[in-house]
Amino acid sequence: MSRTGKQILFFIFLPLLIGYFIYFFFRPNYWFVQLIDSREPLVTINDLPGFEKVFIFSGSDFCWAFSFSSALFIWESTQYQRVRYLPFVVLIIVVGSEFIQHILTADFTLDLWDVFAALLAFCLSFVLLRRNNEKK
Amino acid sequence: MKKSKYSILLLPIIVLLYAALYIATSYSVPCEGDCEKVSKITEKLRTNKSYVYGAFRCTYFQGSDTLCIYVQDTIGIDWNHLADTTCLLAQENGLFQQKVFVIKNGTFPNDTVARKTCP
Repeated sequence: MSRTGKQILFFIFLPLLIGYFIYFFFRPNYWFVQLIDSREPLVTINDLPGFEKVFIFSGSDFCWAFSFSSALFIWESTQYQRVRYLPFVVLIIVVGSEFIQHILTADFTLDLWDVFAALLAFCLSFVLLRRNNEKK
Repeated sequence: MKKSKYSILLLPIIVLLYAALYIATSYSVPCEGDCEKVSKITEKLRTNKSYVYGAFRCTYFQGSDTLCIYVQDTIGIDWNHLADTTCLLAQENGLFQQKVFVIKNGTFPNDTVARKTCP
């Protein structure tokens, strides 16, 4: 498999798969999960200790943000020229996506862990993909 | 990946795909009908009973008449009484002739500590 192929597998599809499993097992009351299987959650999230709760709620956000950032950085590596402001645009989108939920859903409360997860995902993706690609 | 002048077209596709994923994970299915009734049973069972995790349908088939009550392994609790209480709550919420199973959470295979068929 080519280097880009591996990057697509591990940086784009794997995080999406992990994120899907989090929804599938712990947050099944979403229509895209119920399309496949209508089931009860394995655990009641509110009963979980803080760390596990953060993992379930913010883990899926982290996976989405990491996969999205990686997809754009990998796409950029296929261009003839670097897109100079791409990291800035990606950062705005992944962090902004957390804030915009406040407008989209009435029962949403802004969770700083989600914002932190999105920031961490962006930074990891940036370091692992863009900075690495720059060096090569 | 080979650099191509057409790969610019991938950008809107990537953004649209992730936007679709984002929207899909932003809306949850409302808990109505049977889900709401079972949820109310959970809510009432958990009042002053920290050992109760919750009430769930044991099977995912529509129209299921089974109620699985998952509990923490606790000494000195009358599980049959909990099953009776569940029956009362089920009837209060319009769920009749339910099959109630009180199950210890986190054991494999499942350890059913009480079972009852409600009137």
